[in-house]
Amino acid sequence: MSNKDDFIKNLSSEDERERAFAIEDIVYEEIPEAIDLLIAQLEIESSQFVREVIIRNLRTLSGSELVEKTIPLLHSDDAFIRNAVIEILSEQDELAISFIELLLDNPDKDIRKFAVDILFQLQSPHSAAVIARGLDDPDINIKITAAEYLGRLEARAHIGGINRLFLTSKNLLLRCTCLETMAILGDDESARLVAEFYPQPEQINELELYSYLKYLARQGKEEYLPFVFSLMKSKGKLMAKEIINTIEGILRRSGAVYLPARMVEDLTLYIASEINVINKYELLVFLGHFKNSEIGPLLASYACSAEKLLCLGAVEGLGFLGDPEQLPLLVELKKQIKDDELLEAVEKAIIQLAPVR
Amino acid sequence: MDLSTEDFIAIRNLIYERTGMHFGENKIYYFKKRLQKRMEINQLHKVSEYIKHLKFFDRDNREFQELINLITINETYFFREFSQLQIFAEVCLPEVLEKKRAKSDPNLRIFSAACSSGEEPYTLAIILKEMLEDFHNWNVIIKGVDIDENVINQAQRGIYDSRSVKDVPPPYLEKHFSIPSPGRFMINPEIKNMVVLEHLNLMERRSLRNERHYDFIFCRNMLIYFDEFSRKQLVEKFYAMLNKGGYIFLGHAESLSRISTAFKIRRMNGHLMYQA
Amino acid sequence: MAKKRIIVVDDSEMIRNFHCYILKTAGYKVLSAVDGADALEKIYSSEEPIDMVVTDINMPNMDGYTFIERLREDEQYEEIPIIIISTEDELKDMERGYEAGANIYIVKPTEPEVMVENVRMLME
Repeated sequence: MSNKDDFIKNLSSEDERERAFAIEDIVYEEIPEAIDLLIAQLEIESSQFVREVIIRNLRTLSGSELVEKTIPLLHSDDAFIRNAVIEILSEQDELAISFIELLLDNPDKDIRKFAVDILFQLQSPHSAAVIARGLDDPDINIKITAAEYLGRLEARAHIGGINRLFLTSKNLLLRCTCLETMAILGDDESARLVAEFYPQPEQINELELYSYLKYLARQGKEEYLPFVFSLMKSKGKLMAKEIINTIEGILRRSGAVYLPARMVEDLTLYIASEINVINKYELLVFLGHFKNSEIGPLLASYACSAEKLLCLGAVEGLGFLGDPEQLPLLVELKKQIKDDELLEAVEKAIIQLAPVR
Repeated sequence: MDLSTEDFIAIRNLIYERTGMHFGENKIYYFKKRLQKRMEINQLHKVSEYIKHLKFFDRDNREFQELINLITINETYFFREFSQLQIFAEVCLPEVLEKKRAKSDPNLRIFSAACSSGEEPYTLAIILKEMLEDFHNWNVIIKGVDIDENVINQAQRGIYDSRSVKDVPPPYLEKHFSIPSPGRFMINPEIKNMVVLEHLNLMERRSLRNERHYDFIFCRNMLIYFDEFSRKQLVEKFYAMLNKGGYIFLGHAESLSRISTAFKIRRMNGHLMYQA
Repeated sequence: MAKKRIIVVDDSEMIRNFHCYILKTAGYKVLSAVDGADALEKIYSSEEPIDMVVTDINMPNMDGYTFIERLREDEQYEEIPIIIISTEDELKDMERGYEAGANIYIVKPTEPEVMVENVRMLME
């Protein structure tokens, strides 16, 4: 018996290990029928271990034969196989795109959706152009997926399609997806559409608000700050992450050196509220970038916190603030601290406040 | 450097998706320092730019691997990750032993992958010596392998400094080590003889094919240094080496779910365990 | 009374977030996972009990059916309420879902009110 016959015989072994070794050997030895053998085995294999071995080995292969023979498996009733094929095809190069693009004309919406998934994972320079076809697909799930992926690929060339879809969509999830993609890719037209669609942000429904805040975080201007701050009271805990990102995003882009007075007070209360410690940490560090006189004492009050992250945030914030008046506090803190990371942060802040002459 | 929570979560998710390593929020400062280093080397000023670089421009994953090397702690010492070893000793080991006793199977085999200078396999040997009341009834083999011949030689010598033994419970230090000179600790022959050390490249195609019937495999803080594909390949080899019901142990911040779904997950004393 | 905890499982970040928003707004605590394997790990790692699963089907690494079957194999999760939310809308997909152990099957995209209504109903 040749090696090849041995390998094929072992594919039927009762021992899953032997079947796995046979699969590896078939591919390693470049047996010509490897693809057919592996696909046939995949369709009957019951062991999850062996299935994973098959998939990993198929992924090492390439070429039009592999693409042509695995595409039909997208129709499999077995969800594992369908999703594994997406993985395999996503490893293929530009050559596969032409095959996958054809799938976008398939009458089965599930196949079209898989095609969009594969194109995204291929991350080829041409993927975006083909994915953009999905924006006009009759199936709404494909539109949503295409809109999401164009954002993740940062495909600015297609913002026009996204803007159009945002304007015409009646479906909440689709509109939110477009909004979040517009956050990343948004142009002047996007800004105009968003302002027109949401003339009164206070009236935006709760679900849409999440995505709207994401848009503001990346594209919003200072005039929206009062609105975002007002959300701290009504939605402060529920939407803490989104609110903080939006405030930071808008203020960073504005280049403001001072915060409006009211805002320092609001942020002080917010930090003291029930939001997560990591959010408080972030706000403390962020506050250090502004020169309002109340910020130094606020940070100082948290520098002695028993909660490490709060202490850390305050210390880092003081470092950014660079107020020499806080130097004695930091020097005193250095003597008391045992934690290595905190110590390092304090030492760094001391240097920032009192640079060596 | 400013690392917003959003960016921290983005990098953290990227690392998790690609390696299975997970980090708590309390690691944000730890992360920042190392991230800053890599950004300076790559002359990138914004975290968002660095993330974009990792996602779209780091084709051979070189930069990503540099980041991983920087954020992982590479030291080895006896009784590292004590709480996990406790679960091994107090939960997994008794379970496996009970099944073996029922079948009158006296063989117990443990594999320590990337064992470096031997601290891990010797730790496991000490644990077995302490936990097995009827030790003489068992055929114990602990195999430690490493690709680096020098560290294997070092492991063969079995002499360590105080840093390596800092976490050894004092009664064990007294019982299982001798002190050939001040500040040097030598593992006793009784323990040494339980361990077989081998110079081996795990990635060689057929390197582990003949290694079978292991009850426990330790590959802690090792898989993260391999690329995604090699990681899967290695875990497949480990699965093939294990007896049904055997356990694989990863580092406490590592998760198997990104690498393989062939193992069963169990929760024991607050830790996740993976069973073949 | 402590808020009920729901895990949302979907490989699409947008959908995962959206479903989390819906459930958070409805008063639940949520955690999320990117696929079935990730979900199993998060469920088993969770210090507090998970009260419900809301999962997609087509996901890389571990699909929804396999995830549900694995979860149901564990005595501890034999009874945990499971809702599938998937784009697959054929009868055979729904049958497969119920066979695997799901309690409710909803076709995507779902109206938020429909999702919340089903969650509330199943929670009781």
